[in-house]
Amino acid sequence: MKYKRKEGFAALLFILPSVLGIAVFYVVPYIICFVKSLFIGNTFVGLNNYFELFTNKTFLLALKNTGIFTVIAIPLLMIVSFLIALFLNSFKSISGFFRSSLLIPVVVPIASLVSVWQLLFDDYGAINGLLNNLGLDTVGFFNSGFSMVMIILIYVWKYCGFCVVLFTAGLAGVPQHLYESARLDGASSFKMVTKVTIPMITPTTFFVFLMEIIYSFKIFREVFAIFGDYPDENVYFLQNFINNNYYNLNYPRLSAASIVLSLFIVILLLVFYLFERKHSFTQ
Amino acid sequence: MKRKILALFLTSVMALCPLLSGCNAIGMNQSDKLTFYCVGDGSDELFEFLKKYNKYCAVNDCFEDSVEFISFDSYNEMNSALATELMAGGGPDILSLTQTYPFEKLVRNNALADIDEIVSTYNADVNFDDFNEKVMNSGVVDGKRCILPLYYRLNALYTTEEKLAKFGLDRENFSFDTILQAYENGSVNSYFVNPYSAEAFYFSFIRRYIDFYEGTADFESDEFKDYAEKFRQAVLKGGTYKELHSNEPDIPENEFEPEDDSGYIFSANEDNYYGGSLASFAQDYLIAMEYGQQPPVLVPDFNRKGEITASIEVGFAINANCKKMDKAAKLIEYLLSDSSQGYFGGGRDDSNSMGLSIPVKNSVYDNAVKEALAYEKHFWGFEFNRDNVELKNKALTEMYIPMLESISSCNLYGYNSQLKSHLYQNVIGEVIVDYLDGKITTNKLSQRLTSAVTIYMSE
Repeated sequence: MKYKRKEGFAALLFILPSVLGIAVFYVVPYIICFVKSLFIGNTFVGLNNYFELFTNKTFLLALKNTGIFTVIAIPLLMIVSFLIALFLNSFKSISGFFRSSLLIPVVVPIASLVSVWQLLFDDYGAINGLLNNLGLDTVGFFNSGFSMVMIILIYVWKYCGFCVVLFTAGLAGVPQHLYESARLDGASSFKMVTKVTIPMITPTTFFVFLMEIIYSFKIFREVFAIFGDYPDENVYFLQNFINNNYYNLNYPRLSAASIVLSLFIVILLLVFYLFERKHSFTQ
Repeated sequence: MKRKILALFLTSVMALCPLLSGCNAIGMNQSDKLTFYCVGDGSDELFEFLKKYNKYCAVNDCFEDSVEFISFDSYNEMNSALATELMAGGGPDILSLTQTYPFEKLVRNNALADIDEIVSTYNADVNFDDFNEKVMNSGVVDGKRCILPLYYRLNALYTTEEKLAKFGLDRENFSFDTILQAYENGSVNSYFVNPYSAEAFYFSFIRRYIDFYEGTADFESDEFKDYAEKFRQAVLKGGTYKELHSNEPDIPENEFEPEDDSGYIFSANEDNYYGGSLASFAQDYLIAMEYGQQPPVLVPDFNRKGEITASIEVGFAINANCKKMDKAAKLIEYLLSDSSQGYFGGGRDDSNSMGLSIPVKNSVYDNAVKEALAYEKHFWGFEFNRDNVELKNKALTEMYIPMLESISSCNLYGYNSQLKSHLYQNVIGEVIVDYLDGKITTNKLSQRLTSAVTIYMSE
């Protein structure tokens, strides 16, 4: 008993640095951020900053764009990467090569990535050159309604390889006897995927979803590199709003927007977590 | 035991981290004096005023009221420090309008203290009825006086009667259309000889379509698109933006020499040697006349409504986080006093003072007018020709002073300093340069400006 208590104490000591690190660099700043969001200058205004935020048309625009991006890009990336993983799982001899190839965009530096996309899709880029040669008008891929499509494409292209690797690992963990039983019961390939594969890889799907949420916020780097501080209205995200308010030195609004953004992520993850708990068949 | 020691060591390292990082109060403004951030040797105009205030404090035995200068190596470094410190409830107490902060946003963000409140709370001897209302109002937003202008300049372009006549222009009927016509007639190379003035002129044109106080921008109109393209051609002299900046400006030794035939019309306010103050205008005018040069003629750089405007030359704001408002009140009182306004605005009896610009205080302005009209002797001692003195007075009373007295409003930024503003540097400068560079079409310019400015004004 004494030995166990001693061991517990040592374990606590080992955890303490991490706890302190998280507290100092995440928890405390988060609390400070929340407190700042309740003030304007040195005056306590309660939730006024939040009410103002939800009447600010630029914030609503950013929220709408972030919502559209999340709702479209994340499921799209999950579906595309899952299908590729399924495909590669069926052709194990070539899957190694393709998996490695798909990972290249993840490691390509942002500047190179942006240059390539601009060379292709800019007003004077290769695609518009081709369209002009065919007698068609220039399409403003980066400065029109297409901007969002372009950002979704970049996101899917960049992170697809990583998700494929995760899904492939998940697929490898599905017991083969489940497929054999399903096959004996006369299940079609589609039924096997929907009734066996998908339920069995729910933890992997959850993890992929988590990673995609994280990556969806990292896409701001690409948006920033292509469009700068003030992008086209279609691709003005919450991160732009927060970043610009930092440079505009509007900290009450910045803090309120950050808290809203974090709640947005937490609610999203909570919903998925509850869904995963309810529908996971791995147990 | 070893593991425990290791764990304790790691814990203490983690605990020390925040103490050694910027997330603590050590680096923040804890000075007992008012603080002002500057770059290098303080090449900000307000810096000179504050140095004089410090001397005043030293002489009057109130050293504790003086201003402490905190120097940075670059504007980037200064702005980063300011952003972080403001976030933590600190930052410098005094913010100069020539520093590249987003003042248009700061006035709405409650980041700046209400100067009226400081003045009334600490009983500073300042009566705002004694100041130029049109200029002072440029610092008032939603009834709150956030920015305090100290000196201003007329938004005008300098030229000569001869040049105007040569390009078929008339001072009385001067407008955008007439100068465009002059360019289209082919006789004008460019409006300005200096590329930076040309760029500033273009930005100034764009700026006319933004109303910060109303929160509106009008870049979609046919009028804007038409002017945007025509002025682009005129500003670039038919060449490219790169060419405009790659060539050294061919500025003649004296821009107003009669034999000068370089095919440009104007000189921007800050380019020429005609100083901003009334006294220096009078002196420079007389010197030009003595040397047989063409005297300057001012044409208003009208706003979109065709009104004469001014811009703040020197102004400042007090940080809302300032904990030394009593000292700020004393500084405000000093900078708006007759002696300080007169020292930098002309109008003091010291004939060696030409002053910097036009003072906002009415009584000092009146003195500056009197001094400029009475000016007839160079401070080196020689007297100017009587006829030239009369011509100088005619120029002052019939041209310069009427224009000064008919300004309708005042902008936050001066003609060339606007290129250093946050709006230009961070929001729309890149779009404008892309357009001048020929990388985007006029429709794209209109679309991108609308998007960027609309977002900037409301975010």
